[in-house]
Amino acid sequence: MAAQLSSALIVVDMQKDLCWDGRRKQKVAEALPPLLTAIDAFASMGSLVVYTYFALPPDDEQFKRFGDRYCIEGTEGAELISELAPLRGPLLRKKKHSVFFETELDQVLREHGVDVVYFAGLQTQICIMTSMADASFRGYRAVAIEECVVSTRDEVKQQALDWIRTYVGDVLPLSQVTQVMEAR
Amino acid sequence: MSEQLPNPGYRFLGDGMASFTTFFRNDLLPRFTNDQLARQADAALLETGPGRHAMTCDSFIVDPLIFPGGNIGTLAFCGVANDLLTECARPESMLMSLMVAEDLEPSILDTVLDSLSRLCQVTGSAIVGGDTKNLPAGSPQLIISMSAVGRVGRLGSPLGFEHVEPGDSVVLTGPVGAHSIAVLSSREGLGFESVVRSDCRDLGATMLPMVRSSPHLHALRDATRGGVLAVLHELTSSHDLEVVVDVAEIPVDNEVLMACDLLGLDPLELANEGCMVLFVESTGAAAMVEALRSEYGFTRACVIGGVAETSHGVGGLVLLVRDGETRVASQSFGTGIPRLC
Repeated sequence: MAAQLSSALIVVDMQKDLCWDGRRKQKVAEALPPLLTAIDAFASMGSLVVYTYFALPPDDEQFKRFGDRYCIEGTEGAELISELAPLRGPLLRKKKHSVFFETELDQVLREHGVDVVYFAGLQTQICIMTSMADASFRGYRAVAIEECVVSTRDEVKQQALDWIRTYVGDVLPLSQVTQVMEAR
Repeated sequence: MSEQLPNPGYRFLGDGMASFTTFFRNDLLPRFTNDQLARQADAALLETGPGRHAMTCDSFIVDPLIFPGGNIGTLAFCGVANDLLTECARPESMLMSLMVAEDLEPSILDTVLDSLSRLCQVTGSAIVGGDTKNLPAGSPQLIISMSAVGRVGRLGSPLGFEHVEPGDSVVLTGPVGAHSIAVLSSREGLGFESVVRSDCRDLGATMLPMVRSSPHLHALRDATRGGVLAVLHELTSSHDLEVVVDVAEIPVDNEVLMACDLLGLDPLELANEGCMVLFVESTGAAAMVEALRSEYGFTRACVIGGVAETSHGVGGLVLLVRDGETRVASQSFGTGIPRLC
């Protein structure tokens, strides 16, 4: 039976390896307070909150292609950062950049009657962009919460948000998101 | 009918005779049966008949092996078929070499071989021989090497870059970039794989009559690795010509544009597997585009530019006109082009 909910928040890849990487540690620290506020707002209003995480094999092909190693299955670096505890919704493993790629997320969202999907987490210029594109192709309205998405560099984040506005969805400040949520 | 032998997997395809025999009898012969293959000789015999023949070969490696719109088998067949089409020939006899990883999922190889078999049946092409080898477990999982020969059926003047003249129009058969994006997205999970499909297709199945008889057609090339720009650079750098392209005329699907914008790629440099660039006498270009659209199903065929004498004292220039500004297109040397086919 479909629930009455119509919005969901996807918290993308807030994992130790990615968040505490020296290149973006400060950016994550800045994004955490609004992110925790957003999670609390969604959960308090009964909206679905889903956390995604990478858990990659040690010899994953993308390590060769991108020259970086992160979130290896079973390592501490693959764990979500402790600041998110306790989790307010299900945890979903993903293998690739889009949160929909060979995951059950689409099915979970449909079972909950979701039509608007909000995105937070990192990184804006790859996993957030591709996930929002995928969401829009699947018929969802996709919204990035501006203060809650993270990139290592500000200009890269702005370019990514411009791309999102141009092609796949909206970018809203948290204050506006909570207003919309309360009005629904 | 031969007795079916138990399949020991793909180990020892190169060395173990029993293993190869099993694979040949169970997996290859039923799918590609023809007199020459059934002879199981070391060389195939061909009745070539009179006239000229075109011959080509190519090797195919792609990750993932199955992608939206095709697989490495369709890629291999269409790749050599489209190459032959540039000389107005169809693949009549083919040789196929399979390099198979020991741990390749059998259902994937079945899918690939089934696709190849279907294409052979539909086109009347015959795989008359080939070879198998093992790859160690891991990546790549499958490499296909394909050779093909076919009779040149062109009526009238021959085709080739040497026949392209200043004043010719450059015609494109359809949208560009979909193959690269479909493969890249399904490999990296970029979210576009649900909406972008490879354009992989055997173009000769539809446009051969036009290639055979059009008096205005001077040359054609399939825009595979390096895309449309690679074809144009190949022409201008080898024949001291200049090509001017109106970028706004080049058809690109919106989702492909989105992905290119995301990934910092130029759709003109992306590999296609079902897109042909034609060089056509300008007086016949409009009629050819109309025919491609209405008679041959290339609904987005269009003129994208023209060929000119070199105007800068040096050959090899491809000029891109965008928003009224003209710039010289640079040539990519490998790293900028995802190695997708």
